[in-house]
Amino acid sequence: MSMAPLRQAGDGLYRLIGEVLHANPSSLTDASSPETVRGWDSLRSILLVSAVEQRYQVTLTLAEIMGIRSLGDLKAALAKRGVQVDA
Amino acid sequence: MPDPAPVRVALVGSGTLRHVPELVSPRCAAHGIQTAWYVAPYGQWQQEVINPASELYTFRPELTILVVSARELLSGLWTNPYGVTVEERRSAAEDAANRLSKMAQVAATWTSGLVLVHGLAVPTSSPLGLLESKQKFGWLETVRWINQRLQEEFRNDARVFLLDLDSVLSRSGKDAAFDDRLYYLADMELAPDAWSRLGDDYARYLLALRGRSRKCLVLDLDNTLWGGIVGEDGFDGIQLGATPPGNTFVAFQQELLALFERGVLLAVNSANNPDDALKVIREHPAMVLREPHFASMKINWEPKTENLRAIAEELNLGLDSLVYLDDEPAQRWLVSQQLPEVLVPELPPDPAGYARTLQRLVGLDAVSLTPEDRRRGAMYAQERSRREFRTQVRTLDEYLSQLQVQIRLREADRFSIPRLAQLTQRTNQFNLTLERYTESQLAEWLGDPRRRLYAIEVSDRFGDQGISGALSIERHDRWWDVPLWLLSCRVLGKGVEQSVLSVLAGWAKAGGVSELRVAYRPSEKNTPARRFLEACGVSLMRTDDSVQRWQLELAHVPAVPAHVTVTAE
Repeated sequence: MSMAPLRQAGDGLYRLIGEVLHANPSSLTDASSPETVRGWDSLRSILLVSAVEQRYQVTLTLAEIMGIRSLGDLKAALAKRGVQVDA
Repeated sequence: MPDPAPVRVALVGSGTLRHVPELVSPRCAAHGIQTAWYVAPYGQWQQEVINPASELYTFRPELTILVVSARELLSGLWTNPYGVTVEERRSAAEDAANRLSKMAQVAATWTSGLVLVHGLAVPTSSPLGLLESKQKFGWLETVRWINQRLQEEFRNDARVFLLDLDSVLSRSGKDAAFDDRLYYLADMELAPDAWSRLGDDYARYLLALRGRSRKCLVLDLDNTLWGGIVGEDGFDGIQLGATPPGNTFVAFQQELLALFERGVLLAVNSANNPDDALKVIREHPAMVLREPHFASMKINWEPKTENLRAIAEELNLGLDSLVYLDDEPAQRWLVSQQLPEVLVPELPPDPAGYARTLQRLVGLDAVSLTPEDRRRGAMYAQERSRREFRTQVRTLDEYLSQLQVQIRLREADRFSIPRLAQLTQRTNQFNLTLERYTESQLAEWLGDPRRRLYAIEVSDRFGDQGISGALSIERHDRWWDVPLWLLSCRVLGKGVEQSVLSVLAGWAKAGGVSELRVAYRPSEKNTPARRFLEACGVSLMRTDDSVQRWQLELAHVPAVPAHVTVTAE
């Protein structure tokens, strides 16, 4: 199925996430979650979503934000808005 | 300059605030101010404020920010403002304003710093829709009334400030500032981006609080104060006047004039033929700023950086007191590279944005405005007359004898305290201990029976310079301590230093003591003060920690110079 051209969000996404979570970007994977990243609490989830939204000019819904339990989930939510993440 | 200690800022209020420091502190740092934060635990703001032993007060904040949302403060009305009578709305509003102002005053009582109270954001819609404006003491009016009331409550309180949150948020829009999702998810009313922007507003208070606000705006002329280049376009060809784009430059000059009137100095730094530029300043009908507005004028072909150094020296200011405004990006880059202490704001390429850039400039604020501030620009113009007079007379003695210096020593009171505190923050060269005091610290001295605090007022034939120095004495049986003595550099070199020492020595003698012990903390900044002490025969007695005690035997008291008249109260 063909889609509108996707915006690419590669390494920049991980750098941004690393900044907000105070974590080394290279240590982050799709499986990274509040359970595996120290200091990733509910407040940090919000700051993370908010920073990503601002960077890629998208707005997630309340339900989408609540459904994010890992970086993989965040990338999937972004992909649904047309922001493709390869990294 | 070594990094000063971070400013301690406490944040207390409703909703989630734990994340605020990481959003705000980078903005403060960008304005050159480091911050250390305490955030009261979630939901505990009232307990923290009321309890004098709370962590809030153990933290000893220099700025306490009180952030209470309308939702929290007016919880009874928030969901259904029209479910109650007008009288009930009014009394709920009174109650809310009283609670918040009480809390602010309690916080001011238990801290020695400033308290900054967020006003309420006025809602952008009403349950009554179009009929809102027809209501008696309606919902929006209720919230506005509380803001108005808070402003009145704090108007005469030197230590409590109201942050007009409603207008601050409306700068970039309340729809963006309030992210409802984040409120539902995490009790965060303000979006992270709105907090970041508030960092600029906080920085203005913090800079003023630390005496780090800039004192002088140095201005380029061509394409900055007027459009075009006077050397090429000529007196009649420059853009300045009622029609666009000349009106943008008039508006910019009007903003500059407003700053001048609240005590910010203006100076000129321009590469031009002096005759061309001066003709515009003196004769152009649309010029708002004229010669008397400029404390210093460098119109020449020297490098701009050299002129900036010369202006700083002439006005006795540090480079870190200067702001340089120039339309040319290359000049701005050069200045910021070579003189990193000077603040060089970006001016937009379009002069239509100049006035607003100036309105938004962070770092020119004062948290109190003394009569001396309002007169400062005029006093510098007098100073120019003094310099000219100095060049007309042949000797220093002749200059001094005609200067008619008058000194008045007056005991400090609550009216002079703000100026005295400001002098301790700003004065370097003749500031013996370089100790910086806040108004409340100095006010505590007023009640101390052993201690006396004096304001030193100076005037001469060219004008009244107002309170230009501070002196404190602590009386002991056999000697008197002088823990604080400073004189503004504007009055140095006219015999004021000798006169004050002489009067002080006379008082001490009359008080039956035989020596004065003057506290002095050595630093590169205040060597002129040390040289003065040495020249007057005051000798170093001992050093405790970093503070030295200098001793004057009252047997040889210096006389008041003949050209000076001193009165003391």
